[in-house]
Amino acid sequence: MSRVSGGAVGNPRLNAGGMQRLMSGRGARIDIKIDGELVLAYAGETLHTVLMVSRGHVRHSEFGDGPRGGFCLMGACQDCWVNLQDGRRVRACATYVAPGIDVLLNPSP
Amino acid sequence: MQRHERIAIVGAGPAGIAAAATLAAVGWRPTVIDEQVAPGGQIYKALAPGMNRGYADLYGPDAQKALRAHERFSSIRSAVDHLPGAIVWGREGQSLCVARANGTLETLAFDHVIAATGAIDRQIPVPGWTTPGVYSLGGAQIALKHQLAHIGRRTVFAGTGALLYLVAWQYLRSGGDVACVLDTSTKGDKLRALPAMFAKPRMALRGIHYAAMLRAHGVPVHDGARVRAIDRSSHGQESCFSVTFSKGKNLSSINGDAVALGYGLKPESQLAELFDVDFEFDSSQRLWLPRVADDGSTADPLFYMAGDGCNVLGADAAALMGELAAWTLATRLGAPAPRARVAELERSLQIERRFSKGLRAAFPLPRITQGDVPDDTIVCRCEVVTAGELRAASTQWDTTEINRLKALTRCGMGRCQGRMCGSAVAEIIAAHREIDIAAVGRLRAQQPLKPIPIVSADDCSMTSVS
Repeated sequence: MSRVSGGAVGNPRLNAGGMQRLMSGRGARIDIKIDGELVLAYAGETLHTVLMVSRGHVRHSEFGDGPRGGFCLMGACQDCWVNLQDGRRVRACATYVAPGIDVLLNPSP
Repeated sequence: MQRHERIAIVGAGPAGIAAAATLAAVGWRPTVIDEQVAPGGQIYKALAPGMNRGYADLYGPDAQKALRAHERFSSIRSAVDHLPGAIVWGREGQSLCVARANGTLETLAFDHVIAATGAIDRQIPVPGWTTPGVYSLGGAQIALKHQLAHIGRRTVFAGTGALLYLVAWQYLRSGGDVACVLDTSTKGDKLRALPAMFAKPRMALRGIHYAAMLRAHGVPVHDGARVRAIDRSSHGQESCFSVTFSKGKNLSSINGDAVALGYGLKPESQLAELFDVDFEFDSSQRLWLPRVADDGSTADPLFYMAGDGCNVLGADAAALMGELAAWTLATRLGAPAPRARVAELERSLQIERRFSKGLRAAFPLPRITQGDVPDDTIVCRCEVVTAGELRAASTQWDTTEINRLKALTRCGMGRCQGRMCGSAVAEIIAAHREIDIAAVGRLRAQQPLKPIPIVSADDCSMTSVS
């Protein structure tokens, strides 16, 4: 199985570690935005997958202890809540990419 | 014959599917409320919509079981009301409070509830475990079978349990690099447990096979090894972890760019707390478990439980328990008792219990002693409470009761309500104050059982679903 590392469409990250897509079996391209910037994504991917592949985290802890990723990916840990540009707050691991989604990563404190 | 009682089944994993199919076959029309978008639970979690991959690739040796579970639900889809992507977050009298996939809040009136809510990985906090790239073991598997992704290029698998070897092998087989497997259980633990595990010879052999295959592919597999710290370091462009582990008296470290952690499973039994269900301390699992009879009934005549959500016995057992609980309820409601079938289910469950006892002996939960979780380790991921803060609060206020400590430190008060840290908090306090862990008490769950979407006051008036 071949793998590619994702990133911004115009600016792929070089050889980043962390979450890796297996390319065989992926759906159609449905790019979304992170902080207004277009990012490579595929149908069926959760916001968590896209954020981890392209940014390496999903949010910053409100307690100042640094960035967080998802942890359990099954809706128990509640560690991957993210804000969307349209005002919704969603769990990144349970929300699939859709045209027009723009995720707001809260800025590093 | 169409029967009228309103039966809500919470969860559509092996237990929920079996319960729904059983009830549908004898004339009830149950409502199946499931957090997942597709049935299967976590064990047979379906690939995300829009992706395409065969069952053999996704589930390996469990492909047939996964396919049968999905097909079984498909076959009853028109005979049940299915609410996918919906969270049961509370109860008001004879109604469940449900947050639907579209964000609306509804109530669902019920006469009886069968909870088949599954299990999550049990965790032991370790310095660095909140860093992005560190996942639960179950999460690492879900990344693969639901998202066709690996949590890293080179993953460290640490903890204990059969799942540790299965997921490591699945990563390797799908093109990933496994840095190492760190299992806290020893060779002696596994050897001694073999006779009991041969209650299900094929499952026992399968576990041995995974470990052998990992070793054959050059993956270091360490028995009696425990992760002690996960440090983030950078090697040029790559983000990377240095994972420190102890084996006997020696400390070593290994590099990877992702870590999967898990120490067996524990039930998601919070829903039971909204009913009149007793909890009792299970000293072998060191957990508070809801008291559920072998037939799936509880002290509350409205409430039944099945599967890993009440006692972790695995997917095969969960399907048996789901069917058994459904028959118990159906019989109480006047359906003829299928005595031969019930006896068969009970016999099969005996085998599952023996096997499960063997598994727990093979992969015992490592104890948390005084020195095990350093003071500066974050224990509560939600509220960022450290082990040191917990210990200090326990000493300062001279309390060992877990709900009091929650009020004092906010530990376990956050969004996950102690799902991630609760069992470890009890261990840390028991070790710190040198008391029996049962005396620390049980972290009580409360409504809402999970965070619900924030809605405007206008939207708050709940609607009923029929």
